[in-house]
Parts: sequence; C-alpha cells; structure tokens
Amino acid sequence: MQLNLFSLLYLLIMPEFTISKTFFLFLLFFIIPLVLFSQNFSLTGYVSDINSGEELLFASITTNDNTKGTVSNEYGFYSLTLPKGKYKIIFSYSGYQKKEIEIELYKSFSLNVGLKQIDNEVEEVVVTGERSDKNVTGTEVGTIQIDLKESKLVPVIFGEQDIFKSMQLLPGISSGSDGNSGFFVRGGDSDQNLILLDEAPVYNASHLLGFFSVFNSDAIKDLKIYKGGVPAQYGGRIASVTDIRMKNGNLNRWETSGGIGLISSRLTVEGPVFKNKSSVIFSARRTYADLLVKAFKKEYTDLNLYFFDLNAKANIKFGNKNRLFLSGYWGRDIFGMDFIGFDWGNKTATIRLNHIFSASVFSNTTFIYSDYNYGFDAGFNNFNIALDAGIYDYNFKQDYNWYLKNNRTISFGWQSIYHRFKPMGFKIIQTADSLSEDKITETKIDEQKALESSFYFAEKHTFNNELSAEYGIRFNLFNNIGYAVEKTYNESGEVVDSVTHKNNEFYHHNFCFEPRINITYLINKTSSFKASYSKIGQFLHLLSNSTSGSPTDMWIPSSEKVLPEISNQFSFGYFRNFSDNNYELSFEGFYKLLSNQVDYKDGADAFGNPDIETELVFGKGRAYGLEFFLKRNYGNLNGWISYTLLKSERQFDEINFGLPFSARQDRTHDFSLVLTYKFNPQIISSVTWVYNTGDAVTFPAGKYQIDGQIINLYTERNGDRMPDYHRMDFGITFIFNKNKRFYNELNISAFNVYNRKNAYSITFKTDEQTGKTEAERLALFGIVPSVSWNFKF
Amino acid sequence: MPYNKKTRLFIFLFIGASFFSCTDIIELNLKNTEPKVIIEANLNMSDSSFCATITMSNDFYDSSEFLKLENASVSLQKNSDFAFLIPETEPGVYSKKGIVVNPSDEFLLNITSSEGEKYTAKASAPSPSQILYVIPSPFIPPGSEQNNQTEKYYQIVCAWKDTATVDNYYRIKPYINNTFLSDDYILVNDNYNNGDTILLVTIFEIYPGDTLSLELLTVNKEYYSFFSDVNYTLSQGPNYTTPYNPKGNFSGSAVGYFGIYGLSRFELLIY
Repeated sequence: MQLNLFSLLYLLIMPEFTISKTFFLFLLFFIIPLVLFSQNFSLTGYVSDINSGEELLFASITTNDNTKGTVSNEYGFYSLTLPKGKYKIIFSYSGYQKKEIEIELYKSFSLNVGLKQIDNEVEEVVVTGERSDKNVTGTEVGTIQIDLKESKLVPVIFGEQDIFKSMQLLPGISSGSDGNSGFFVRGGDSDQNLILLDEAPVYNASHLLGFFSVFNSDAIKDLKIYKGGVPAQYGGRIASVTDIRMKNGNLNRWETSGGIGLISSRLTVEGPVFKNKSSVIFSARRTYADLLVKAFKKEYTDLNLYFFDLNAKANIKFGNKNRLFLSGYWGRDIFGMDFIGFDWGNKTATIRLNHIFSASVFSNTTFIYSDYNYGFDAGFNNFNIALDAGIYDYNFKQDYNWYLKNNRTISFGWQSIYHRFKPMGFKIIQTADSLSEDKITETKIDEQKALESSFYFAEKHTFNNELSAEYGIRFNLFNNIGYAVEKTYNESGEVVDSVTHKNNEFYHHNFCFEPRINITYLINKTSSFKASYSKIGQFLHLLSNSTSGSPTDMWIPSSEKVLPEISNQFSFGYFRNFSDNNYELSFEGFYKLLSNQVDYKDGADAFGNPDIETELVFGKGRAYGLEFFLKRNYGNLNGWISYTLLKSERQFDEINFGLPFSARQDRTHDFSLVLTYKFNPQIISSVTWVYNTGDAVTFPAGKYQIDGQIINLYTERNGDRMPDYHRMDFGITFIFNKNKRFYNELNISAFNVYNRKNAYSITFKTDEQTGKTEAERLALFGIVPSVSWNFKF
Repeated sequence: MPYNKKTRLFIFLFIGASFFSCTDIIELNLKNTEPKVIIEANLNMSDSSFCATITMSNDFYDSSEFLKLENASVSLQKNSDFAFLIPETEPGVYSKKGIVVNPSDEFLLNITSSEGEKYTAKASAPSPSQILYVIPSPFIPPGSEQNNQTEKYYQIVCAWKDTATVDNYYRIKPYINNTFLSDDYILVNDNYNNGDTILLVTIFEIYPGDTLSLELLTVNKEYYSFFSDVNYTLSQGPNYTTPYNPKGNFSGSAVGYFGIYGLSRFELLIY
C-alpha cells in the first residue's frame, strides 16, 4: 500500500520527461508480481435484468459476510477474485430482488446472473429493493447515478420526460434559464461538460432552443454524472462528464412502448433477433407543433417547426467472450418557412466490441463517429444567403479492466480522436437584375483538423476495511494538422506573418498531464469521508457571443495562441446513511482553479471572421462551493432536498478593467426539493420546488445620448443580478394495468403551478411616448398544464 | 425591418414562446454611478466644419435633460502643426467652420474641462466616396401574398464606389421627411467589397409623398468602431453579447468618439 502511494506521489511531483520510465517501473515492481504470485480464482460474468436481459451497470457483488466484493462495470461485467473455498455470493441492484448463490470455488469460472425487478407489474413506481450503501462505501466523489424511474416521475414542461431536467435538480448542477437544457456544473461553463451517449460525444444536447434535451428517456438505460473526482478514463472537458448509456434491447421478448403528449409523441420497439443472443431497439420521437398550426391555419402550409430523434441499437453475443454492439443517434431541429430556414442537429454512431480475455481481463474496443452541424438559409427578391458550420469526430478507443485481486482493479487504455472543424462560412448569391450582374460574395474559412490522443492508467484499490482509493493518470496530446495557414498577428490584430502547413502535417502540439486521485475513509458502516483531486485539460473551446448560448456557437481547437483550458479541482465530502440506508445524507465541498479560459473580447467581430483568434481574450477563473444532499429512498413518500452554495469568478485583463467578475452562472444559492408520494400502486403524485439566486448580469447604471440615440452606461461586468428564480411543478400519474400484457398510464402535470413570472430576460428601453427609460421583463412561461399517455405492451 | 403577421408568427414560434410568454415593466433597483463625460466630436470634410457636443450622463431612471459641459477648453491640431482653439458657440457645444481637411490628414483633439480634466483623441481623415445612385422599388415582404398587405415597403438600393487603396468604413444615415431615423442607421465596411461598387439593399416603410434622404458618411475607423460597439450594446437579452461601454478613441474616462467623415447625400421623393 505504502509503496503504491509512494509511487503515485512520485509520479505527481516528478519532472514530466521521466514519467514513462517511472510508469514502467511501477508496472514491473508493484503490479506484475501480484499477478505472478496470485493463488486466487475468479468468478466472472454479467449481471442483467432477468426479464429483458439488459445489463445492470454498477450492480453490487459481495460475499455474504460483506468482506469482499466488487461492482459490475459500465458494461455490466464483473470479476470477483477469491481464494479457494465455499462462498455465498450476493448479487444486488437498487430496485431489484437480491440473489444469493452458493458456490464452491476451486477454479475460475463464469456466472451470468439475472435479477428480478421488484413489483415488475408496476414498472414506473419507485420500488423498494436492495438498500445500497454505495454512496458511502464507493470511492467515487462528486458522482451521481440517476435513477431513471425517479426521473420519469419528476414533472417537466409539456409533460415530456427528460432525464436532463431531473439531473439539474441535484446539488452542484444548475440549469440554464427557463426553456434551456444547457447546464452548469460547479461553476463551470456549459461547454465544459462532456456529454457522452454510448461513448460518443454530443456537442449540443438541446432541442427546440433548449426546451428539450436530445435524450429520449425511453431509449436510455443509465446516466451517471461526474462533477469532481473524474476517473482517468474520461477527459477533454474540465467541468463534468455525463456518461449516458442506451438500452441494448430486450433479449427475451418483443416489446413496444411509447407516449402521446400535447406537442410530441414517441415510440420504441425492442426485441430479440436470436433469443438471449442478439437484440435490437429502435426509438423515435417527434414534435408536431407545426402540424397543429397547419391543421388550424391553412395559410401556413409552408411552416416547418419540429425536431426529431432516432435511436437505434443492435447487439449480438459471439460465445461467452465476445459481444458486438452497434448504436446510433440522429436528431435534428428544423425551423423554417418558404423564405427562411434554420436547422441543426447531432449524429452519432458507435461500434463496440466487448471481449473477455480471461477471468480477470475485460476489454472494450470502440469506434465512434460524432458530428454536430447547423445551417441557415434565407432568400428574398434576388438575394439568397446561406451559412453553415460543424464539427466532425472520428474516434477510436481501447479500454481494459484488469481485476488483479478482489481489492484491486486496474483500468487502462488509450483513445485517439480525429477532429474536423468546419468554421462558419457564408455565401450571398445575388442573381442578375437591372442594376447588377450575377454576384457571389463568399467567405470560406479553411477547415481545421486536429488529433487528440490520450492514454490513461488507473487503479481502484481497497487497502483495508476503512481505506480505499482510486488513483490514476491521463496523458493527453493534442496536435493541429494541416492543411493550414498559421498566421502571426501584431497587437492590432493585423497579420504580420504566415506559415503554410501541408495537408496532414502535424504542426503544433499541446500536452497535458492529468493526475487524478479519490480517497475514501470509512468511518463506520454508515458514514465515510472522501477527498479527491483531479486535473483536467480541455482542447476544444466553444465560442459564444451570446450570454445564453445558441446553436450557432462555434467550436474551435486549441492552437499556439489558444492554449488548453485547465482545471485543478480539490473536493471533499462527508457521506452518511441512516435507517438501513433509507436516508442518504452528504456534504461536499470543492475548490476549482481554472486557467486559459477563453472569451470574446468586447465588440468582437466573430461573423465569418477568418482571423477569429484575434477577437479572443484569455484569462483565469475559480469556483468554490458547498453542496448538501438529503434523500429518502424508500417508502410511500420519498424524494430529496438539494442545496448548493457557490461562487464562480472569471478574470481577463481586457474585461472589467482586469478585475475579477462573477460568471453568469454564479448562483449563490441553489435549492431543489423533489417529493414523490405513492397513494397506492395505481396513483403516484410528485412535486418539485426550485429556488435559486438570479444569474449574474450586467445592468445599466446610467445613460447618455449620442446622435439622437439613448445609450446605456455600464459600470461593472456581471455586477448585477437577475431577480431570484423560484417555481413549483406538480404531476400525478394514474397507472392502468388491469391487463398485464398492456401497461399504460396517464400523466397530468403542471409546470410553474403558482404562475411565477420568472424573468427570461430584462431589457432596458425608452418609452417613446413618455420619454422615460424603463426595464422590461420577459417571462417565457406562466403555468403550463400538460397531459401525456404512456403505454407498453 | 418590416414584419408581416406571418413573419411575426414565425419569429414567435422560433423562440418557442408563442403561447406562454409575457412581458411587463418592472421596478428594478439599479446602481447609480458618477456622471461621466460624454463627447461627440465630428469633423465634416465636406463642409469643413467641426462640432463637439459635450454632455454628462444621467442615472438610468433620471428623466431630466442631459447636463452640458460648459466652459471647456477645446483645441484641434492638424498634422502635428499648430493647434487652434474651438469656441463654445452654445452651452456645451464647441464648433468652428473653415477647417480644410484632406484624405489622410491627422488631427489631434484636446479637451480640458473647467475642472482640469483632460481628454484627447486622434483621428485621420478617410477618402470619401460619393453616392452613385439610389433606386427604390416596391417591396412585398416574403410570405405576405395571402394577407391583406396595407403597409407600404420599399426596397432601396444605394450604390457607391469604394476606394481600393485603403480600408474604408461607412455609416449610412436615413432620414424620412428630414427626420433622422436614429435607430436605423447602417454600418458597412469594405472587407468583402474592396474597390468594388458597393450595393446596399435595405427596406423602409415609406408612404407616397414622403421624402427619403440617405447620407453616406465615409468615416474613420474609430468612428465606425464606436457605432459598431453602440449597436452591440443596444442589442440586449440572453441571445446577445454581454453589454459594455463603447470604447471610443478618447483617452481618460470620457465616453464618446472623435470622428472625421466625408458626406454624400441623396434625396428621393416617393410618388
């Protein structure tokens, strides 16, 4: 133990150029001998839902005396290494009946286990099951796994279940404004959140300008968010990682589920191709506001206003050791009429092979494609304007889990992402008329390319009954790739020199070395203290010239001038469970230092600018806060209280006279209450109440007149506050399942029950009649009732 | 920009708030700040006149007139030559005629308030362009064919020749019946049209009998940047950039600009 920690500390403090040498010494002296002299046997396999065959991620596998155990990994695979002997092994997962299996271990063997969901007939009910203490005993800090059943009961706007909205009710995670599914984690910016769907990055998780997220809850199996203590296998965003896994599809029987709501409907079909060997799932969702408008207003036949999502996944098992997955997502928002159109969307595709090399080595090989792009076009008279932009990723990833002993698991792997950036360009086509000839005005900015390569190594180590840790390192190397014309600018932003790089030439490198460590000290069986440190680098930067973000925001790569954003986060927490794990309580604190933060300078000329780097400023930031979380897991009344106390600041030489200023998402107080009450198995109600300090904004402190215009005078960047935000939502679900083969439910909900006018924006203007200047509030939503009907058969 | 009903519907749907949003005027406690000196200084190459208006800012809710800064000492220096004083012709207004300006001439403006505060700004004269022609044609907003279109819109094409040898910046000021439409000016640069004939196409709501006048101001870069900043700050809300004070080209704490421009004017009577 001491040797390993010593090695890690040595790795942390040593000069970078000797890392690789020390790493191999580490392997040679402290890991390999453990394997060579091991006398243990391994019990391996998958834990899954007995009815659907869906793997259960992070399920618990322990011996009956609870002295040895493990959890299934993010693919449902587990490996438990024990000395020869007789054991009673307990498999458990929240919401499922635990299963005890007696085994006599005299050799390594495979055991796939199916668990039965409790109260399977009432599927949407929060059920009582195994009372997990993972929040106390696990090594993870600042990590939350979302319970999909809970999230489906949380009332949301338009009745559309949205796992992202539920996530934003947890401590440390702030939602955007009304109708915005962007979110902020521990004071970070929204582009600093890595969102993975079946390991493919999703660059814009919003539909309909933020009213919905792109994740169709019917197609999602699991969501886990890392706010701090991010494991070494993840990298590339400095604020958080949200790892979302799609369902694999029912391996045992065909199922159809769906829902019909006021403005959208969805349908999912899943089932086995070969029973217990191969399954598929297709899920689709579409809004139909445009169809309703067209139905009632015949003159709007050319209106397009909708979004759609398609999720598809297939998998097949090859023997006991191989399983191949193919999954994809395609979603797009389309707005337009005959003279104007605007659309954007994501596409992802994942090909994944799980392979079990041996009882102790599991591998995952993944190829991922992901893109996000948008387009706009408008035409009138003899003019046509078109612009488009996008980012395209090709990603190859290899992960290994090596179960050394029952108290030690090593993870390592590498990843290489080829990024292609298509910057915003536009074209104006003017057709000939009496005044002019055909003319095309076009800005075409060269595409940029980059290769982001990473290697990671991590170990999860339980030292004794009290102390466990997860520590690791991640190396990142980011290369810019030609063809490119690399320009040098003077202080005025004028080009003074340029170097041309050939196609596929690697011409600039950014490197980041990222140590991570989480430590858990179990005070007793029901309480623990945890601490973590993580360093993360981010090589992609989202440039936004609006305070709320928009689909047209632009991703750019790091370069010689735009250095990688770096976060150093320290966090700690006290975790305590009560009443046989019925109540979870946690206090967490964090302090985060941010460097190389990127922003536009005031008045930046961003539109189609080929020298966009001259419009940027670079600075630093910090965020710190405390989080409180109390949750009741079981019983007719359950739910949680969440509170976050936060300070988030940024500092740029060129902004606010070089003084620190509050980040827009600096919400001092953020409180959420979520309650669910089960009247009986057929009727469940839920209520949420949220309160937060208003966003930090810049309001005028005075005014002046120039050339007939009244212009506002400002004093301090983000020195003011939007009015405090609070809102209550209510929902009630009636479950009709007299016929077991056909389950259906009716959900009635109301968003913003007491019709609070929460400000979406405040603008300042002069009344044309009185000449007085005044503040005008725009509130997007008053009370919004909705109804939806969901079914499954 | 004209909107008919169909366009409005689209815009509302576009922001996703057609049925539920509402606006109201609210009382908001805003910080107050010490009054700032506001300087609007223009040197018109076309009539060789200079005028600087110096005022003070007000608190946001203060409806009183903007105070004028009187008794300041204002001087203008051309091409590092001797400086000449600009007299105060009205309270807070300092003006002088007969200042001959040629393209590329450099000017230094010095202002000293009666309390001794100094503000200086430099500007160089642009190469003025002249309007070649202005052509109006009736304009039917897209998608409005099926509605009863009562408003009268005209598409106005304004053309001028850009000077190829230098970067040029323009501000087009529209007047209807000699009333300046202060919110409808247009800023243009020659980034994509250097040396070309620039065609500006814009749309105005005009009625028969109205007189439309367009002023083409070829301005120095600092003048252009100031009004470009003003445009940014006038666009408010979460979909726009964080507001800030236009930087202008004055040293010290004054807000404002010192601009030099050449003026070309075209008048049009709508029948």
